[in-house]
Amino acid sequence: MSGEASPRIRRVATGLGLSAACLLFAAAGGLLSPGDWLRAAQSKTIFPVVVLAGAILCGLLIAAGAARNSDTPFATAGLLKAVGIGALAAIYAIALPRVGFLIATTALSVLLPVLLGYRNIVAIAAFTIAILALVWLVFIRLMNVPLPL
Amino acid sequence: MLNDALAAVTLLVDPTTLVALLAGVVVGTIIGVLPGLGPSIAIALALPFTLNMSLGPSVALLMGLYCTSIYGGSVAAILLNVPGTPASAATCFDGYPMARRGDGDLAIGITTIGSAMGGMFSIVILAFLAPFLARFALRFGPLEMFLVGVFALCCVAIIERAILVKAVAAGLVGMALASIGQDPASGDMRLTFGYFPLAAGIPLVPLLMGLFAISEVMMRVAEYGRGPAEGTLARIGFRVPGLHFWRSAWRTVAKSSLIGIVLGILPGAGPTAASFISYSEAKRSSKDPDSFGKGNPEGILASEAANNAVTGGALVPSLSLGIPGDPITAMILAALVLQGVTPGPRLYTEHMDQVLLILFSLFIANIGILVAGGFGARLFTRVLRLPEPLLLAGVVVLASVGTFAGNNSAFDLVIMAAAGFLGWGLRVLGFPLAPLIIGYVLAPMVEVNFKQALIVYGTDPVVFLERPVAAALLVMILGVLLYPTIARAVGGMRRRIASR
Repeated sequence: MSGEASPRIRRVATGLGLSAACLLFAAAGGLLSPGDWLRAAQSKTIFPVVVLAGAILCGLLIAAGAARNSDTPFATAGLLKAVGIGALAAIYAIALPRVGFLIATTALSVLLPVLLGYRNIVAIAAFTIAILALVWLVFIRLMNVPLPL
Repeated sequence: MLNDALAAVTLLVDPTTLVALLAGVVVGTIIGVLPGLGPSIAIALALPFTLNMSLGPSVALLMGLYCTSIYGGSVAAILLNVPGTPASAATCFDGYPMARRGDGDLAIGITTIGSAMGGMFSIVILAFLAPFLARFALRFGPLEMFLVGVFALCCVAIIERAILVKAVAAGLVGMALASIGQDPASGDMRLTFGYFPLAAGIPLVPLLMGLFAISEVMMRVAEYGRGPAEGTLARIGFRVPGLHFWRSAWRTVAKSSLIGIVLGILPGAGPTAASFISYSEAKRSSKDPDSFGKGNPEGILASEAANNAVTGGALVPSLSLGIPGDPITAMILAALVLQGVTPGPRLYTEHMDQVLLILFSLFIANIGILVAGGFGARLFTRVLRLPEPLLLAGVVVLASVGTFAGNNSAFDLVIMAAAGFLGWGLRVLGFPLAPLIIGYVLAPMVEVNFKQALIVYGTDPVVFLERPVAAALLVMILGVLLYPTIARAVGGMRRRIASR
């Protein structure tokens, strides 16, 4: 995958995407029902309503071309790789307290370099042992962080 | 005064006190470097130890930990783009690009000198102006604090002139994220989506770890294999720029230190807001603002001088009035009270020896920053020589473990992962991260003070005539907002006159 999306389409998608995300956030959070927030500035929801309304407006302005001068090249190359490694990092973070830090950290320390095409097994093994020792010594032994082994 | 100084020095040169100070400097730097652990954890861990110590060693230990744990955070920010403490997040913007182009040693040198200078500057202020500044801070009611927050938000938005709409949008997204959980004014729940863990809101450390560390890993993975192996370019050690740099940079240090001191004195702002506002101001006033975010040393200097200047500033209301401005100074205050120190206006008249002991300890702790930076840099910068895939794996592990260590919470790790994708998405689409963080940090202060101001003063504009500080802040806000338009109009007039 390589190449660039058209700047105009990208701009419209970015702006409308931001507005839609904020609208969805407000709806899911129960801010769209005209309840107490219209009554007084002291309402608990008036602040997020104002803030999200501002963000929705910004999204529409971006879609209309107000941020045209800030267009950045949006290369699609490497996009899948980035999302894949991001997902790996997310799985590691979620697995860490459930599977235990020894298994999760060993798996990540081996998988991430291998997925990036790094094949120096000795360096990977040495790094894995070093990072396990560092985390165990500093966080678990010295700081008493209750990280499951 | 001389007798008080002698008494303080006698306490300080005691071998036990010096060992406690050294321990504070070393442990504080290490805690700062580790992601997720910051000054609050450092001081909390030290509190039980101070109970068995006399006044001198306990003050020395606390001051050593306080200063260096804020400084240590910048090392991880520069080398890994993982802010060791929230206060060093702004250091990532220029420190990390410097490390990537092979100038990690120079970035560490600048951050070390900047931190020490900011800290020392704040000590001078604390020594001479503390009682006056504390009385001045008392004139800041909810209206003034609300206006300070709005002023800071305007400053951050206005410096991103080229991407103003995106900067404002990012700031508003940060404020929306901050409004998840309890309403800071009423305590009512909002935006929890029926999910109980969100009642406590989005914590700052997981948000920063995701926005900076995880998103950076994703950005680098996308580029991996398409450029030179950067690890081989990295210089190892500690490098300080020459005099020519400091000739222009001293203004940044002075201005950032002042911002740090002022925001340290005011309750609720803290070192994170100070470093971001100072960074924004340095960018705004720079002759080359476009180089900020791409490895401009003045960006590091602004952020670090400000966050370390907060240490002295935050102690001003604590010592002079007995009012701590944040949880860290509250813990320090508690430890001092347990040692027999009675904070308040009479501390400066009746127990100047205790004030001087605190000041001298802070001063030596700032010298300790120079020593820790000088000796530690060779060790720290070696991390840049690691092959990139291993370095990226290390960043994910340290960011995750550091996030978990903050609250021992599995939910924080979910937040970190989500923030990673959010940060990556925003960066790919050209949204700046600084306004998002500053919006998040300042939102509770702006909201709660706005609501309190409405209750106290109502909507009568006469209040601005009765409160001169509020009126001055309002003028400053209008000035910041209207400055670009006025500057354009003046420039246009000048050009027309010149063409005639």
